Amino acid sequence: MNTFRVLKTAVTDVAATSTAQPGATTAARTGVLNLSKGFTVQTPNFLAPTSRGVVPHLSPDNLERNTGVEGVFVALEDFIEKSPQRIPPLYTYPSTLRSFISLPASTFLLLSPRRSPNITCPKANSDINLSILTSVGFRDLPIKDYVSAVIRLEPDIVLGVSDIANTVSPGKNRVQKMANRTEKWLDELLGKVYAGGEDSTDGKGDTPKKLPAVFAPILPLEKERQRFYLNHLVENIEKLSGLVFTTIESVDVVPEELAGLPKLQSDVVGGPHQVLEMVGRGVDLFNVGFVGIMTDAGIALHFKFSADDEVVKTDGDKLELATDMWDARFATDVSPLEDGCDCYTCKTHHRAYIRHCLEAKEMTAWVLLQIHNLKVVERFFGNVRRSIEEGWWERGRSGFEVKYKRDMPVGTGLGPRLRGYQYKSVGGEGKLNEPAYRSLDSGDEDGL
Amino acid sequence: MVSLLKLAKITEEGVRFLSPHDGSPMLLTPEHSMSLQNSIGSDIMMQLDDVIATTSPDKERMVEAMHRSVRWLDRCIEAHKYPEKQNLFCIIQGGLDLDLRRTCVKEMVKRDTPGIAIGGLSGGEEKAKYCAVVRTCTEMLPDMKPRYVMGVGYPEDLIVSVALGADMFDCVWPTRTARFGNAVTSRGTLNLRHASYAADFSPVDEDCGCPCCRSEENGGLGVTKAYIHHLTGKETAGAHILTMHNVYYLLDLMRNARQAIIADNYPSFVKEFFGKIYRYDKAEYPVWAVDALQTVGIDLTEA
Repeated sequence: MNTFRVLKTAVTDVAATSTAQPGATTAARTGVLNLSKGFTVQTPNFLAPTSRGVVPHLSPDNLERNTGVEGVFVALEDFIEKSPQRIPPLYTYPSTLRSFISLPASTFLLLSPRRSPNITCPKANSDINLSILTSVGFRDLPIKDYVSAVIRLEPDIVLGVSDIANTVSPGKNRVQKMANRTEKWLDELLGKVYAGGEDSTDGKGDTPKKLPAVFAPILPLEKERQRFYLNHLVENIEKLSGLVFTTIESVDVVPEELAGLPKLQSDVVGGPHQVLEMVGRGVDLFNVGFVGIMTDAGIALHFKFSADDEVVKTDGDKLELATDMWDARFATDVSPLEDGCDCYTCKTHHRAYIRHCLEAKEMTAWVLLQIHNLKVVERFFGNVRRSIEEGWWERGRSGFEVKYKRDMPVGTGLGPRLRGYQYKSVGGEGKLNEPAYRSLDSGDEDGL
Repeated sequence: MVSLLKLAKITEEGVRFLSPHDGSPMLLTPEHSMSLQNSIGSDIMMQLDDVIATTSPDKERMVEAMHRSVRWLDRCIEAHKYPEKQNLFCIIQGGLDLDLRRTCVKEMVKRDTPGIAIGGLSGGEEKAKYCAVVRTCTEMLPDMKPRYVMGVGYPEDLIVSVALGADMFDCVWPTRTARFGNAVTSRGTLNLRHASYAADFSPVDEDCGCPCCRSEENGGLGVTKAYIHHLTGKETAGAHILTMHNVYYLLDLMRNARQAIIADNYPSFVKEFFGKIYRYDKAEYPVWAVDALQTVGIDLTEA
């Protein structure tokens, strides 16, 4: 059985809320999500996004030994190719997805049809197909393939497929279709997951099969425009283990009856302020896309969620959330990325070394940054949970707001090579990375 | 200075090139090279040498490079600040000309450096000529000094060079080839990017004890060829995993070579090594290896 229990909801401190947006900070809660496959997840918590089954820059042993990542967000589109045309090897793999990607046994796996955030496909979805982007181009993913993959691959959590229009403002008919298809696709998934009901066994005697937790998508639409779909969710609440969103606003359309389900935000690219706003609205799980974006840019995170009483700062002297490690001022700085940090990177290396590795475009730079950045986020969520349990959430939240700048720094250096599924070229662009070495004879030798 | 030779200009003073960081002109002299290595504090330091490709037809330039390397060695020894705690290795040059090599060995051995490197090789020369140079040098070198053949890393080259009397090697190939998706195994090198591995769910090397190949039950990652195929060229973690395997394989190969020498059965170790790669099909054995091993009394052709 997959269960979720809310442990505590944040108490609203009247003095503090007077300065905050009304209603925005009252729903923060801690909870515990028990997954049928044996994982216990304290919430609010985060999942690390993966690319082709790995948390970028981290081999599975590094993930296990040097991070506290409890769960990963894996997309089926990363395992299917447009060409060669053949049955995706993953479908013929005799074991589970977890085993295929050598995921540490202590990490839970969430399966989604698409990456998050993902590249919008030019071709619209159809009644039976979802448009996806593979490493070599766009193609269709038949919904029935996704549904049967879920059974074979045994994820711990599986997301329902949502039909998101590939235009910015879909028309009335398209919106109706979005809700209808999402509902139909969810039913297909639930039908397959619960086929045989509670009687089904895993072939080892009469042990009930450990079913994945199904999270139903909430569409990025106003409440009224997905009313029938939401009602359908309420009717099927027994079969649902959670809800998944792509926009902040969608949180507010959740009907009262579904409020007890864990809520996952699958697309967090804005940073910690965005996370806190969503925790305040009662979101429990976060797929933290911003961590990888910062790591790729060579930026080290160093924000802390704490109960410290800070003097309100003016915009000018608010603290940075993170620092660009490409900056030349770190060339001889032998202090750790963050003072007092107990992550592998900070215990073993210093800023000058990381900056040197970036400058040399050595892969180790991004490995070390990813380990540190994930640790910062792990501590952040740990403190958010503690603040709710100990009753200082509101103080911590408003303190964070006045203490830190709103935006993440913008990267100045070169990232690792960008790939097609991360970046869509528009044609006519110059080279992103210039060659480092130049010929001595090419006219640059005036100084010699 | 063999790497990126086209981008540099060599004079008696040193090597001129443009900084890869900001394009500014740089001059690397033997003295500056020593000062850098002294401040790095490496246990082994390498002299600055003048190297040209062994395949160059310019005999005169080859002679000049060899003599200059000897002169630069003297300047390096002179400039080396911590001979008591850092070991400076000379680098024998002379291309594929065995007489030039002999002259260089004689001159450099006189300087009595703590270790001796054989340089300039592994630049695309014929394997038979490579073996002749290594053998010519090792025959003349003192027994009690480490002999380091620079730039060598193919498993066959390592095993043959050890037989010819070399002790140490360095090479970018095992890790670089891992980044390209090539696995070095006891059955030869496998290009895991090939489509035939897409659905191959066996470990990279069945006989390997590295963290990547060991099964999860045995505390490893249980990575399959198919998963490396899936990651290669797309996610760097694939390069990390395969690098772990390739480095482990080579370290393990050399560990086994040492044990075989100590146990006095290196010849049978060599035979088993080649047998496994070429499925004991003697017609497939590379001629250069058979010939080179013959010169030191290892006969690959006998049962």
